[in-house]
Amino acid sequence: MHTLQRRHFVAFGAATFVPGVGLAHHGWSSFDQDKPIYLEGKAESVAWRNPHAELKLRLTPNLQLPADLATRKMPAQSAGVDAARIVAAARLPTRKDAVWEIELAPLTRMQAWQVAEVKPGQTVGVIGFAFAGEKGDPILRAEFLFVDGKAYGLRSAPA
Amino acid sequence: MDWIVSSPYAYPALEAAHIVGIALLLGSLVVFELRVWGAGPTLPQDALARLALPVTLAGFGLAAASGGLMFASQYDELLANRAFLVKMALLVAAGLNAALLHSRGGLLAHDRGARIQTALSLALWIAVIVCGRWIAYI
Repeated sequence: MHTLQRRHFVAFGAATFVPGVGLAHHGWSSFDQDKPIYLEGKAESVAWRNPHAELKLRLTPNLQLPADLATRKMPAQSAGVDAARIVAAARLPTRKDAVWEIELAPLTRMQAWQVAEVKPGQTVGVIGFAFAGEKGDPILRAEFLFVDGKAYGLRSAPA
Repeated sequence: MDWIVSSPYAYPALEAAHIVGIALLLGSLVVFELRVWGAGPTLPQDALARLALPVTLAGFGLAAASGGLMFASQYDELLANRAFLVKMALLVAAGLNAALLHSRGGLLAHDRGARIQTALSLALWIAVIVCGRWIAYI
């Protein structure tokens, strides 16, 4: 589905409308997968929906890379993701947006990982990819998600 | 329309139905167009048209119904997506082209005009599919 930044205030289908979540669907190929980016903050709004869940993340002020990030163990998943390389290479973004849109996985995959629906206000960490050169909108496609001290791989189902 | 995006399975099921619709539409259309272009000259064109074109219409109906539901579930972002807008414009063009062909008695025609129009039809439908897929990549 993937994105489309859209704001809308039409009554029709109001039940599906999550204020403030810009909706977007992008294939992996839209993102620069050589430059993993780490973000952490509080979920501002969450759209737990298909074609993929997404949330708006307000970054922690003066965010620093967690000291243990580069050595964190990621859970096994069915796709061949080089998790050790990705966590070791993860950096903070160079652009300074306070709020990012985070694209998660389709609901079936969130279900397979048994990720509880993220609630607004909840603290979330994520490693993912922005557009090449961090250009365009501040959108991050999540490779790894950190919630409540647990890590999830969003590229594929758990192995 | 909340159920479409809140159920884990509804959206992928609609995507699958959309693909089946596209396959029926394009597959049957190509068979008919090949006949217009001169292939299978022993096949009666009107009989082939009566067989193939209802399949084309059924495929279109399935694709339109599944696509309509997916659209309703996220119309706001689709209306802001350029690939979607181009796709809709191409759909209108394909529809006008088909209407024109039929108004000229095109089901039986295989003159130069009919060959050009059916080639245009094929190009338009392929472009519709490309734009549809592109929605996810911009």
